[in-house]
Amino acid sequence: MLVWTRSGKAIVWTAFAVVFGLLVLLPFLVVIAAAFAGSWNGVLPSDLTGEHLRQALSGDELASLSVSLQTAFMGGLLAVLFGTWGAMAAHGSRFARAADAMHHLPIAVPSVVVGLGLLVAFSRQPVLLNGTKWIVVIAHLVLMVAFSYGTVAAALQRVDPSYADVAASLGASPARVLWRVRLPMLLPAISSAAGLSVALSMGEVGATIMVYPASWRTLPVSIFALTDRGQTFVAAAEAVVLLATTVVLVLILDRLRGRAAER
Amino acid sequence: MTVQLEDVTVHFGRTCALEGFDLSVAARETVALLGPSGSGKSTALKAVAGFVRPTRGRIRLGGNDVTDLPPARRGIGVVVQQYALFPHLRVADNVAFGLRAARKPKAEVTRRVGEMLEMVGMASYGRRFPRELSGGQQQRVAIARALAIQPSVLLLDEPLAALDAQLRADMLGELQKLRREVPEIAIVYVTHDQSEALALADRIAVMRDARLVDIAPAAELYAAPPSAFTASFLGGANLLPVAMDEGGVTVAGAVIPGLKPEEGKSLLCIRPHAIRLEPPAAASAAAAGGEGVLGSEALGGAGALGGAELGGAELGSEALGGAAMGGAGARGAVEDAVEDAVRLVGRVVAAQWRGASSQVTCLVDGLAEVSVRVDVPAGRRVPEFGAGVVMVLPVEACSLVPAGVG
Amino acid sequence: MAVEALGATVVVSTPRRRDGRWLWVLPPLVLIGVLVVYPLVLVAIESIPAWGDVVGSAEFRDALVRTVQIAVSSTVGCLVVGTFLAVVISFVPFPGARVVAGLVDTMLALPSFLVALSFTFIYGTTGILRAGGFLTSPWAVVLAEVTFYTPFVMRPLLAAMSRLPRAQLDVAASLGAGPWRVLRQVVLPEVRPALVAGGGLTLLLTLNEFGIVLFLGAKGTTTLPMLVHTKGIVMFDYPGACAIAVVQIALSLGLYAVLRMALGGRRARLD
Repeated sequence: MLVWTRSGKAIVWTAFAVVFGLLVLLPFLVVIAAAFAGSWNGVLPSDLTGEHLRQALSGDELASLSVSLQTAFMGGLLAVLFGTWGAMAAHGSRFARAADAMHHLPIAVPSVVVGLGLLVAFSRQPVLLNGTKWIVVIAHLVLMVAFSYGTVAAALQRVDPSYADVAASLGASPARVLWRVRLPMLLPAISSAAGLSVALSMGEVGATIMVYPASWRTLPVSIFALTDRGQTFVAAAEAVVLLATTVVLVLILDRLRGRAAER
Repeated sequence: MTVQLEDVTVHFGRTCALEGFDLSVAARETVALLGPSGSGKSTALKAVAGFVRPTRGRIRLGGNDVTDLPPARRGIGVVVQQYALFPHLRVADNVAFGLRAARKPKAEVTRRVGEMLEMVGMASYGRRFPRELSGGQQQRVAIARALAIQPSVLLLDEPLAALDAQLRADMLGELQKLRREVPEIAIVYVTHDQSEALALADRIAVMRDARLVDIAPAAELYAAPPSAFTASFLGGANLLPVAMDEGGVTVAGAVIPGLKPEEGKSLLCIRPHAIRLEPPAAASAAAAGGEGVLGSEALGGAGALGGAELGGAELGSEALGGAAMGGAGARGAVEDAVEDAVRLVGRVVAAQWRGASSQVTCLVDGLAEVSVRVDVPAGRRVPEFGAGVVMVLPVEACSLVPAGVG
Repeated sequence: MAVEALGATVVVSTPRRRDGRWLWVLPPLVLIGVLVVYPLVLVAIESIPAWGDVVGSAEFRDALVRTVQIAVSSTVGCLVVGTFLAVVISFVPFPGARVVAGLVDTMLALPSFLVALSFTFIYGTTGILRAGGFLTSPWAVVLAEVTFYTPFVMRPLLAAMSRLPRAQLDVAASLGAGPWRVLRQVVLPEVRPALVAGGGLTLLLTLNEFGIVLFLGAKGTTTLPMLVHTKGIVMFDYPGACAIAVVQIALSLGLYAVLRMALGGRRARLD
């Protein structure tokens, strides 16, 4: 289409492989390799070991994994609920622009600032949440609501409104139209919002680091603490745990989405 | 300059889009590639343009092998189905695109763009954007853009398919005019519409399932289709199975006078507009108008016709065969003015009014699976659904084609 | 969730049961109001006492300049790399190009600090390249951000390029245009909205980026979000942190507003 000669294609593909491999792919591969390396003093890691991974899955680090999973499920799923609700309520109403702007606020400002805001707002009366796990869950909820809203709102724009009209013309009450027609048609978007929310929540660091209490350390916070102490290999191992967990969760949600799409 | 395709084969993954395709188009000639969708006609055109690389075979322009040249170095004008005008460029800049790519001097670009837009009647639209033009106007710009680089070959891929019916007829006229204005170039015209192919092409290449079926001058292909597929695709001919015995050809038991049997050709081909419909009574009247000796036979025929109307298909058709032969023989003997024709009896199973004409679909008694389409010009009476009719097939409009998938 | 109440307003044109409508529309907005808007307003109020001190300080001005420098450099890098990669995937496709495109989509959901973590192995004092000095420079942050945010540029570009009719590229080539000319005069003008959307989003996200800066812990590289963290968590200077946060909010929301205006109806692409 663009490059017609074989030699031209070969050159372009080589450049692509170099750029994509070195710039985009390599960093992620290096983290995975480091997780299993006893030491790394040359071009390639040496002393293959599972020790780091064992450390990353024991004691405090294992607790972090559990904390992260709980936070991701509570924050992420609530976020999907409210994001979907918000997007459907705003769709086509005269509040659409205001709702859009409000829901995009948490993405538009740095997560650190969102965390600072929660810290300032909930360290005082009437609601005192500072020092509890709930402030972490709320931070994740707030950030993920924005993404869920965006995903569902985009899907709503693609859904043909005539389905709902046809359902109504067949005598379905508005509640039935919502439950039997509009929601099922949004199911793929909703489950993809859930996947995105859980994945982003698992890796969230900016807001979390502002608000987390010592009793509720998520995986990324633990990983940061490890690197701060110079235990970079264990940190890498724990990052691999994080990656693997995220991938598994997203794959599960993806299968749910596949089933939703088949119907 | 001639375009030659030699044994060109194109595979996309496991699907074969074009198989062993040979074609030669001379300068000053228009060849239409005609076929249903998926027949490989567009692939053949893309191979000439250089958009797809043949898996096998060579492509030559003016004798030079261009198989390995990128499209940018072939100098071929291409107009695609949706025109692919660059939406962000004004009409004049679209037309100038190829000239600027060739780094022509500014003054020459301006002059040539002006000439081209003038030629297609779009001179006052140079400052417009493509989205501000109608489909027909976009098409003219696309042609102007393709011709601006002064190609010796012009490829047109379904150029009228995106237009509505009236506009298509107008643009067909414009394309004929264009053909006269640039007589020296070779044109390959891809279409699925037989009327476009007949109107524009010197020769028509009929394609099917990635292969070339027939290629011949347009009139020849229409008058004497070499294959059943070409016969039905080009002009929607009726194909009726025939039987051959002792030097005669019969269809549904009726002998076709004057048609000699040919080896391997077992289908009678006749165009819908060549067939005339008569009410059953007229057939018996024509027969009865003959000599008295034949009267009883004719009466028998008429009686049989009545039987046919009542649904006694087999008996009726055989009796009618006799009647038709008798009738033809009688007229041949008595009045020379009546033409040689085969008369088949049947009934109407569908009728579509098309304004200038109506197309009536009839079943022939004795030919269970075959329906015959007949064009009835406006002003003639269209028989009612279910009515019994006699189809008159003039022998000079009949030809034989081989059966089979090719 | 009272389905009756929700349902009452599903058909927007139904005028009856207007009171139910509020129960359907308001709760999500109240949630955002309480959890986002109210805290940000408090941040603005808290910041007032520290306003003069912070804005006048060299520390703040350095961080502001650094933040913008890093964000702009990273965005430019992402645009160049992302455009190249997207063009190859879209228009010079190779077997497996779709897998790469899928990989790019996956990367959007990964945490950014992974890249920073890997840099300690690649460029660290004991790592592959042993370019220890590089790791503490702002350029390490820029490189890490280019790595992480290139997919954000690629995604809208890949979508826009898949909508570009292949025939346009073919016809341009048949008119004698070489690859470079086709790219410049046909492809890029038509994917420009996607380029603006992807670039704008990347600029916004790199202005706000925190994880990479935190993990690289580069001494000379203090950005505004980093400063908010240091002041708020390490030094417990809430008013100071709030003052910087207000500047950051103004910067981000200003950019966001400009982007939304520039992109008009294509809001969805910012998500």
